[in-house]
Amino acid sequence: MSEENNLKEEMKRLKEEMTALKQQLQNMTSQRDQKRRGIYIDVNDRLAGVSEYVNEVMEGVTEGIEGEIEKSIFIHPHGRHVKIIHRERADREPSEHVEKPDLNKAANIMSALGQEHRLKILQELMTGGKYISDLQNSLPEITTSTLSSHLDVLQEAGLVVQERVRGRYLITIPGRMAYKMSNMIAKQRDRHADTDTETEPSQP
Amino acid sequence: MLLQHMQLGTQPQKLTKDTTLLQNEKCIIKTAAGTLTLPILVDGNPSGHFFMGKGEFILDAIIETARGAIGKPVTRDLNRPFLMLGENTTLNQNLAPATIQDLTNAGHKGTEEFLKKAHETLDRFGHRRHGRFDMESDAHIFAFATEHDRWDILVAKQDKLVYASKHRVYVSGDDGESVSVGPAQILVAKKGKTVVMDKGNILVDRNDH
Repeated sequence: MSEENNLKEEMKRLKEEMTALKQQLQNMTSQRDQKRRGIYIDVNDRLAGVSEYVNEVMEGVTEGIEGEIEKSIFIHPHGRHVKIIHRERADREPSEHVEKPDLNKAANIMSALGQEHRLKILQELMTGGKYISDLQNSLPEITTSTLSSHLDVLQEAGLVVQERVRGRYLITIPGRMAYKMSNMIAKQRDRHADTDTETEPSQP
Repeated sequence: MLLQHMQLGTQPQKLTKDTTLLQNEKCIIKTAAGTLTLPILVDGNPSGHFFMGKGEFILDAIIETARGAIGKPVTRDLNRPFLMLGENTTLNQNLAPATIQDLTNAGHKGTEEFLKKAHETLDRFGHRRHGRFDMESDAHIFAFATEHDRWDILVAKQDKLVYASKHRVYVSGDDGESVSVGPAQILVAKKGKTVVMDKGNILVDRNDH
């Protein structure tokens, strides 16, 4: 008797499982059809994803609006970054737009940068104005006379300016740009050197 | 005191030693020994000095920004007449009556000629300048004659100063507040924030992070 009851229970459980499987199959078919019509949204599993997507879109729109507003008053939306606005004059001749680079000046600047000690001096000045004694302390490998000579070269190139009253050396805007540029070039060179090594065919 | 009421004294004096007339973080004005002077009187009160001789004026018209320094030092040899309004005790200690020999050594034929030149210079400075000013005890006004019969003006009070020349206006205030107006660029810096305006560009740097 108990064996008969067990079988009945088993049958009932199997029926329930079959009903559940059927329901699952029906759902899957329905979802496939919706997917084909391009309106599939899995509410249970994807709701969070949709919400994130909507938020992202809204953030993008908001940023765009803020950017346009800030642009109109010349302030970048991200605080300390800089916004440069170029105003084009309609009456200008097109030839004036194309500025020929002053290669001689560029060569002088590159020449001033072409010395490791001078780059070290610029690196020191990146943190703020320094007296020559500060530079001597932080760069003991450079002798005093050489340090003065390097500072003269950097001043000549417009990368550094010296205060006449207090005597401090300050890095100029071109100086900061030049220092950053030299580092960027060095990094790019390393990156490309790595790539070349990877793609180089192996020697037989 | 009124500018129109400025008058020159009649007794020429000379500097017995090199003297610093003004020195702060941004600016230094020195005069050399042998420079001739006359006291400037306003409403009969000693209010400054007229100088004719040699000296040096240095102004670090440099503004430090988060993106680097902008500007350069302004230097000028003071070989033309200039005026100083304001008190300077060191100067008074270094003055002595000028002799005929001192005047002739400086290229003047005598006292009369020197006084005439000085009055002409002061008249040119006062020409079309009308106004009233109240000098504070620690403030100074300098007026430097230039080759174009113009005057470069420097107003200084402790570390704060305003300099105005034909090509540049430079202001340095408290806490690194600075303004520089040049022929091709206007720069305003205050509390780490900088605005630079030049040909076709406006650059705003808010370094408040």
